[in-house]
Amino acid sequence: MVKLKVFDVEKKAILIDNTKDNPNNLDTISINIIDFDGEVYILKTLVYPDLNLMEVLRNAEFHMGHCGGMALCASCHCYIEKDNIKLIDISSEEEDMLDQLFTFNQTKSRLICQIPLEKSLDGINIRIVKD
Amino acid sequence: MLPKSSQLKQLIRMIKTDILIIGAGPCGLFAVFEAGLLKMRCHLIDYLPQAGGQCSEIYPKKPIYDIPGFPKILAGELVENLMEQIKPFKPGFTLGERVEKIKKSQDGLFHVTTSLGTKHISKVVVIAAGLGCFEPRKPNILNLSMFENKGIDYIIKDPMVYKNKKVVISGGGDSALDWSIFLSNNIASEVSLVHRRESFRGHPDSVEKVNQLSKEGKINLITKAEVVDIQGNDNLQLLKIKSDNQIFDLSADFWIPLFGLSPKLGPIANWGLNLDKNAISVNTLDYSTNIEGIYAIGDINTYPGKLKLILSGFHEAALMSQSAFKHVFPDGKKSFKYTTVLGQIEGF
Repeated sequence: MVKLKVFDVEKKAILIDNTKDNPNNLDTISINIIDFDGEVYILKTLVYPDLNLMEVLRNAEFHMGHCGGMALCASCHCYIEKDNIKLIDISSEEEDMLDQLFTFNQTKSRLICQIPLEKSLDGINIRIVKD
Repeated sequence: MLPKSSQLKQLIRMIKTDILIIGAGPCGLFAVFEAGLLKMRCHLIDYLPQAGGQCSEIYPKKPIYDIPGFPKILAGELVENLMEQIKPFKPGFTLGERVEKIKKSQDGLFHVTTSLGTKHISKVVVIAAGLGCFEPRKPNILNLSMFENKGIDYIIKDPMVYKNKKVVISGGGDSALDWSIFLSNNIASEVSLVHRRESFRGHPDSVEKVNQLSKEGKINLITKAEVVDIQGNDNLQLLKIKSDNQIFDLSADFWIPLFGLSPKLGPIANWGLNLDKNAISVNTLDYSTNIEGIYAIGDINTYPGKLKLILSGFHEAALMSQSAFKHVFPDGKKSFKYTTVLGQIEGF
């Protein structure tokens, strides 16, 4: 276990490595996650085309993505630290949903089902927000 | 001896049926049809105030492309069609109530009680609860639970409860806007709408109407603000509102936080069913659970190869109904007929 600081939490991180089977030689990125129970994870994933961040986390058994990625349920609402990472702009559908949430944070809130998986996300810090 | 009025009330509220379906989403609704073909009567319970599950609550205007026979159909239209399709079988509905307890008696009947105390008796229980119960997202405020149903409501069932009362609504979506407009029209004595941001992202007509009512003094619009504390004795009396780092008091009989709904497995987890990652394990022979007489269909169940599709749920409903027949009519002889052979749908 490596010690990792994600947001204001510094603790030993649980490694989830989903990169071992890589026949197509896809890029690999690392995502730092703090779950709503305070556990910290490092998720290593291949950069599959046509996936979004929510799908990658859901495949790693984080409980989210109930509406399937339509920005309609907010089960993938996360706070994101994005130093040096350029994220896709918030769409009006995403903003509509975020606007309803009590836990909305103007600078950090995103629905991660709306963020395509890209190599540029390497090292991103994600805090899963409890409903 | 005649029953006392309290006993009579209990008897009246006791609903008896062959199959009790928990969850009135598309799979639960279609189960009524498949069961009806085999002459089994159904009653549905759902926590939402209307039938249709996610299709009605989350994405009624979204097109679905993988319903066989429909190249494209809006989710809301699919629910309307299903309601039409099951009409001959006259299903009963208990809506706006959450199933809390399931108890199996020695005679094999299931006794099912809801959050509002409505009692149901059935020979078979089918859990078609999708992602679980859609529960309101609750603000993170101390003492919130002390005032739930004592001034704090998350779902509006009967607007007349707020007649001549001081009502505060929180939220920025269509629900918050629409209910503010509705309650300000000679129902509540005062309506305040508190929203964290300056602008609203609801339907433009609703936003315009709220702004107009605010100008007319019928809605007290408080933006860039949020409720940070609640106070009262037995019932809610006062909200503390934070705006621009200032905190002020707002007198209120009711606070209605409308921050959307979020699915939770809820009490299902306590019914003794075999679970696997928030889903109910079933036998794919008939989608029965580990408890004899309880089935699980649709998104709530899991098995090797499970696909969370509406069409999978429809298939599961058909096989479940064939199996449930033996519980409903232990001595009955089932005959399988195509609906084309029947010529018409014979209801109840």
